[in-house]
Amino acid sequence: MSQQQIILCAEWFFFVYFFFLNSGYLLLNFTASFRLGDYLESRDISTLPQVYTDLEVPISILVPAFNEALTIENSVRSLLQLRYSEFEVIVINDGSSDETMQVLAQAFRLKEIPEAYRVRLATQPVRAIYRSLQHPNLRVLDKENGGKADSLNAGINDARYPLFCGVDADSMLHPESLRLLVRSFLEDPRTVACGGTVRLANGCEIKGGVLQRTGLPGNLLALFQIVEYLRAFLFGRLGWVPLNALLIISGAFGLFHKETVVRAGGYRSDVVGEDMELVVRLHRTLRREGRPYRITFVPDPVCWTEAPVDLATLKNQRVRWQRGLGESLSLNWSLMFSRSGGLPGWFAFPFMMFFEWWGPIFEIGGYIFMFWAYAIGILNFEAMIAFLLVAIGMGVLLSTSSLLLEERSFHIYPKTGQTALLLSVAIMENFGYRQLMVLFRLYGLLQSLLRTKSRWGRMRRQALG
Amino acid sequence: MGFVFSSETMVAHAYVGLAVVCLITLFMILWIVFLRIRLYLAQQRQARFREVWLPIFTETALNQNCHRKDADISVLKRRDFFLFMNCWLDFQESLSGHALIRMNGLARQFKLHVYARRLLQRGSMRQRLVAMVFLGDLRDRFSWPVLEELLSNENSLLSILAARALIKIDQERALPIVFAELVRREDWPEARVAVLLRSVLTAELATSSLFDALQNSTDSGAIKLLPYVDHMYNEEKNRILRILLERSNSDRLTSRILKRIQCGHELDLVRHYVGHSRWHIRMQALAALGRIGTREDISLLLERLGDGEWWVRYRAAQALIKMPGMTRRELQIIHDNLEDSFARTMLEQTLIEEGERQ
Repeated sequence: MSQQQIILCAEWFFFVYFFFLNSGYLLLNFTASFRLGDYLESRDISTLPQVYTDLEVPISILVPAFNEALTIENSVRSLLQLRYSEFEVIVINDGSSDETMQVLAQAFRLKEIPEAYRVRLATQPVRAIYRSLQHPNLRVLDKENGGKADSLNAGINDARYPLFCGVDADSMLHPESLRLLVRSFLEDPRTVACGGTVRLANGCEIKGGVLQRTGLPGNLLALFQIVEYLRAFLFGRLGWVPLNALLIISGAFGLFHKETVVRAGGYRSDVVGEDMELVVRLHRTLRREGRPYRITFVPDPVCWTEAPVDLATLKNQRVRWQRGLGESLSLNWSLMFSRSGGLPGWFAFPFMMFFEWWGPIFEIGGYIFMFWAYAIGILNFEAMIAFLLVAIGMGVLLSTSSLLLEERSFHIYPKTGQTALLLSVAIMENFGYRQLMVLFRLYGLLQSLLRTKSRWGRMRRQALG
Repeated sequence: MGFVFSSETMVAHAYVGLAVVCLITLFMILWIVFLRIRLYLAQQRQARFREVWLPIFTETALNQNCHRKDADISVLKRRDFFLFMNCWLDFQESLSGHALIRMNGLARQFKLHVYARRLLQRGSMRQRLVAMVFLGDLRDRFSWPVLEELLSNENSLLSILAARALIKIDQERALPIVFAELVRREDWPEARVAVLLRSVLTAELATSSLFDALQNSTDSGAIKLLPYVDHMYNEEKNRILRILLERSNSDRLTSRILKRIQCGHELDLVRHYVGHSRWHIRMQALAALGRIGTREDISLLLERLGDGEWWVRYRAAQALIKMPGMTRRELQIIHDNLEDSFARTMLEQTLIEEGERQ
């Protein structure tokens, strides 16, 4: 093959890649838009008078905590204020080396109980189980350090109810969040998992673990992430729901059918993205068994979390996410193009693999190739600028469309000035921020190929509220 | 050697693509601006509307002599009809008796029932839903044929709300057809139907039609109707639960019936299920024994305290604590004499939980 043919192939490869990537996103946007319309229409009926009934399935909320002394009290208090007929909160202290356990013991008057603990999923040893004297529905498991997945498995072992909800200790839930998520289980008995939309709490007013007023942060990095979260959740997730091909449920907040998860083997403790790996595995195992199921998602903003505000923490987070994605896909290869794979195996899995997991290689490769071609004089300046502008223009279009979905639905940011600021951020983020994120993701991809040991993701944070 | 995408044609295509992308983006920005302005104007309009109409609603509801016949009919503009319906629905939700009748009179004075009937036939989905609730709450008998037709509509939202409206208009006439539809439909989400129907069902009228429907239903039909038995009078409720339990061939139905048993007459029947092969039936039977059991059941409970299933042991321990005349001392003796360590730990845990609750 001559050099010219190689260049021609590369040109077409990047062009086709760019075309399919953006077409895929536009298609997701399209399906998300319809799904959101249906969802909002169906939600109208829920605004009618409600009588809460014993049909609400009881839920166990699992809160894994490792060195969360600063935030744990507020997080647990906010969870105890949730509006739901029957739920329990299980905090799993994963061998914290700070005062997490002491803070919990003091704040909630914990007392050790001789609980009949069932080991259905293997975990690190549980040292003791405590019960709150103030809140009968609060228990704390103190266990040897084993990571987040191990903690969640211990929580599942101790959970008494048929549905469980994994919550990050640094997240804050909307008071109606459980009701919003459980509706999917009540309305369709095939539902085995349901994710919720996570929004960023930076810039919001929070008191005692409860969101008082939404707002936007002054930090530019956090602002970029707000637009990014809108994009990721409003069409990146919702778009997959009508196809029953959602592969990601955020670890910050997701509701699962306990028996299905236990049958699938629980969370894997040897991966970074245990939440995504579990969802991909559920698709794989349930499809292989031929069991009818649904994995769904609620677009209402039900969970609030803090975004990193410095580059180093942001980089760590993105590297971890990319590694998690890689591990989740590589551990479940057999779903892809399998006979029973359906839309998750034939569409969502390859899409995630080519455009999300390997995407950074092609995106960075595309930029390098273009600049190289310009440097050696085979691509003229005008053409280079034209293609760059199209790529950036597509990025702006996708961000703007997620803002439009937000405006059509939830109006989280009520002031006109806030919408204007988000619009300008949606444009600005395409000049540097998104490219930087691609670089971080590339680094994460390389790390996942090297398979370094997983550990709890740390973040420099302040207590929410 | 040249770059294919450097050709003038390709660059021109790229610029056309860019122009399209920019135009779509601009269109979306304008759409956002439009939505924002529309929202602002709608909020302003609603605020003005509420300012004028909420005092009128309050006066109508509170003042026995006031039917607001003197209210200036021209004050309510046609474009505010839908807003009026929404506010009216919110407001009358907490009312009953004469206040409700006066509120209905106010709505009829403005011929809103005519407007709602038209929306029911030709409105958007949201308008049809609101119109249906409105006509139901207004007890509009003229809408009955349309609502009855909508009851079998394939759209589950429309059909459920039609059921609710029919029950509101004439419960006695509606219940047999609604229960028949409930048994027939597979698409009616159990919880949503319960939420909507429970708010309108009354024991006086629900009892006989529900009794008949349950008596003539299959096991799967009974499962769907069972959530509403709490609306029946106790005597009939206990009687139908017993009939269903005796004839049930479905584990799911048996488990759900056991969950609802509150009457001591069924004690023998309940005891029969304590040793059932399905653990959730054993669990519900033990929970029922906790509610209606006697001291004769203590040996049965002790046996189940060593069950292989955690929930069964837990319910057995809870039931044991609730046995009539059971004292802390007696429980301690039982605990000390237990040989099975699982049973002992479970009783210990339950005792502590109970102690904390007290």
